[in-house]
Amino acid sequence: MSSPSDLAPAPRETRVPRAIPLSGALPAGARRQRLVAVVGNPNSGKSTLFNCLTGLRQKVANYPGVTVDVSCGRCPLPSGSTVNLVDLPGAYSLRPRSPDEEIVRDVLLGIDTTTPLPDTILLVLDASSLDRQLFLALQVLDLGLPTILVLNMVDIAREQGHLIDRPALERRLGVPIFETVGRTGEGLDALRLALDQPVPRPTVRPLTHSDATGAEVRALAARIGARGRAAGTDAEPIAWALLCDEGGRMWQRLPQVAESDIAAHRARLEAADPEWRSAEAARGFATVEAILLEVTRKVSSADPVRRRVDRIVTHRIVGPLLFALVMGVIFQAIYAGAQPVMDLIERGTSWFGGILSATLPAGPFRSLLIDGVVAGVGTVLSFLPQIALLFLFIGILEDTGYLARAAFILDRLMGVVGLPGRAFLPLLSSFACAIPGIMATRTIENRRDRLATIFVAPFMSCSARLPVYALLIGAFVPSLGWGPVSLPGLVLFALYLFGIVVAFVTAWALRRTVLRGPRASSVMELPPYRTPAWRGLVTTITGQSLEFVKKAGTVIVAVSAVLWFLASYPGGAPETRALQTRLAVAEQSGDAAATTALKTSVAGSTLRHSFAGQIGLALEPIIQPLGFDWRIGIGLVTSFAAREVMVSTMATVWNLGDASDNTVSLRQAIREAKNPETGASSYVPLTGISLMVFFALACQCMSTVAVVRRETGGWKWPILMLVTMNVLAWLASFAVFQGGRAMGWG
Amino acid sequence: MSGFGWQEIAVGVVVLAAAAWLLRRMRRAQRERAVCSSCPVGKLPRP
Repeated sequence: MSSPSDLAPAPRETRVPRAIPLSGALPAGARRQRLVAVVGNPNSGKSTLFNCLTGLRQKVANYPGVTVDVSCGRCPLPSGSTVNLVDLPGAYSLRPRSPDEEIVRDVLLGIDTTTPLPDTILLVLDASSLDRQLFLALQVLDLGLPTILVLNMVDIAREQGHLIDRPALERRLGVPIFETVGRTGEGLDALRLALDQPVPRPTVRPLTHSDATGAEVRALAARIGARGRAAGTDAEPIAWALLCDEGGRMWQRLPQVAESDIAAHRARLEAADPEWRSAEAARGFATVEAILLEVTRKVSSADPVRRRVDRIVTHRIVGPLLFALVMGVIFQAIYAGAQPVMDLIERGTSWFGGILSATLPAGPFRSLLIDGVVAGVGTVLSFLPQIALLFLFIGILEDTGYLARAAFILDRLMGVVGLPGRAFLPLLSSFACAIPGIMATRTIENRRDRLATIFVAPFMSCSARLPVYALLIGAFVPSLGWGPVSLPGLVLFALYLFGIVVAFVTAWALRRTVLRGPRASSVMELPPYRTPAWRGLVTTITGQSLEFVKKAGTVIVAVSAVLWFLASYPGGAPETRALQTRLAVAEQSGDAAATTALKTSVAGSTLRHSFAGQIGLALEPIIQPLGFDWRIGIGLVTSFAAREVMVSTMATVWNLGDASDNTVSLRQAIREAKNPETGASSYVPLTGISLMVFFALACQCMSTVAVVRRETGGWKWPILMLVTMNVLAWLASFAVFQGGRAMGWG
Repeated sequence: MSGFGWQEIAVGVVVLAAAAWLLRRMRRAQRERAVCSSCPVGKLPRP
């Protein structure tokens, strides 16, 4: 079913905090700023170093594959000038096996269409695992570009007993070498000084070709010539990369060579040296071994404590149990820890609404402010503590290195459903937001694996679902507790688990039908345990919280104002007018009870006959079997703008439906909602469960759909995803509500 | 909500401004996507 064009070569997304003009954006004649590319293995600390040098907040974590895109920043130098830094994705080799590695190769060969050839390479190696990192270093040095080598995380290397003779390594590789600790900033001043000086080209080309290979490489390089490649690049590394790129699309970037020419060179090479493909790796690793013997010394064996801890944490039975326990504790803590601050924000909202109510005369503008803006924004903001706590816990697990172990534990389970080990990181990122999660699938080499991961990533409960879950749990789940365990916390955990289970079942079904194929094996690197970098963690959480507040202060305010209008007008329906006449009579006669009841009826009738009410009523036949009424229908429609909007919509709808002048607590209002005709509760707990299930499975985020379209290169997969997820959500909610009722729970 | 006074005018201004801002934001997001896909320096947004 899938064609080769199903997965477009990973397009690049703008994640640049500040606009920095590179070559293409400068006016003709203007002097271009120097461009420095940060290159290295995954999890070697490139992004941490990049952040230290530029002062930016590129996402970092203690596991491989966090950077999947090119990010740019400006690095100030001691002389007062600046250089532009580009943070490239991590790569194990310049012979790419995944789209993110392709980016690295193309940029370093000067054939990338979007990023110019760097003037300098900042080659970052994790000093504690030089044996695995040096191979890429040899390939990069072989390009002959001006290079500075950085031995990062030297503190960990020292702790583990690795002694590196830096001057000897400098002589062996022919480039200047600096030792740094990205997390603390150690060694960065010397590095900035070096970047301020002209950087020499390497004096050594460590990887030489055999005679037969060299002849073919030179012949192909002559064909490439000077046309179409960046000045300053050598044609031979490009020719060699072209020969190695069997089945790839690198040749499309070099119009001066035809694919058939490259095939002819490969055929001649095959005849002369059948082992040419593995020759580079064999030569490279032999060189690495020789270098290590010469320049490194190990003074103690591997960390025995780490080994012992790893044996427990990654144990076949204990590991998964421990993981479930950790996650359970986190969700309990999120629910319990956030509650006091949430109550405080709710009280603050109510107080502010009260002030407005006392200050402004009754009228539509007061209603717009109190029932629309304050109720909507206040309710959304009250979920900020939970979101901040979720990011804090994920950050701690990332920084300590536990998440890499969790990936190892889940690899077996993911293998059963046909997902690769590398899918763990994209799926994990999707708990914050599906968009970076889907982009992180670029580290997955196999096309079918990548498509399956993209398809199921939106099932992971993103942070936008959290306010909706918290609202519904607060309204429908009783606050029972057994010691430190509370029922609301358990339900929250269950909802996250539910998303994971559905994702795995969907992946299993996809890998046995439209995406049938063998599962690629994967190698996983377990990073060392580290104490969390608290300062970085606080910066990240503050940034994310501010982003949430900004969204509440802009988009939610605007949507709340528009929604208030739609839920208040046109008004003047015959039923409403009749109720208003009765209300006037009741007020004149001084009947307080009748006045209050009629005020509520007038508010309800106005809402019911409003534009938004009519939309909700039109939807009711479709959503009634799920236990939802027209008011929830309005929320479902607006949640397609952003899931959190459901919460602000509900707040506005309930405040408008309430006759009092004050802002009502939404959770309480939902709990106490009564059907005006029967007097019975409008919603039963089963309604809440059905709605939570719907939100856990429905695809309501249009940005996610747009990203899936971009990453898959067409509309087929996003449409399939949108339809599948929403149909599944409807069916699951239907089964929950109707099944529950049949069992007498409704 | 009978009659027409300053509150109605304020409501009109606020709601129209909010709707216009949301529309402009949507159009700008669309335009930025288009610019980025054809931008010669790739990921960098135009100032």
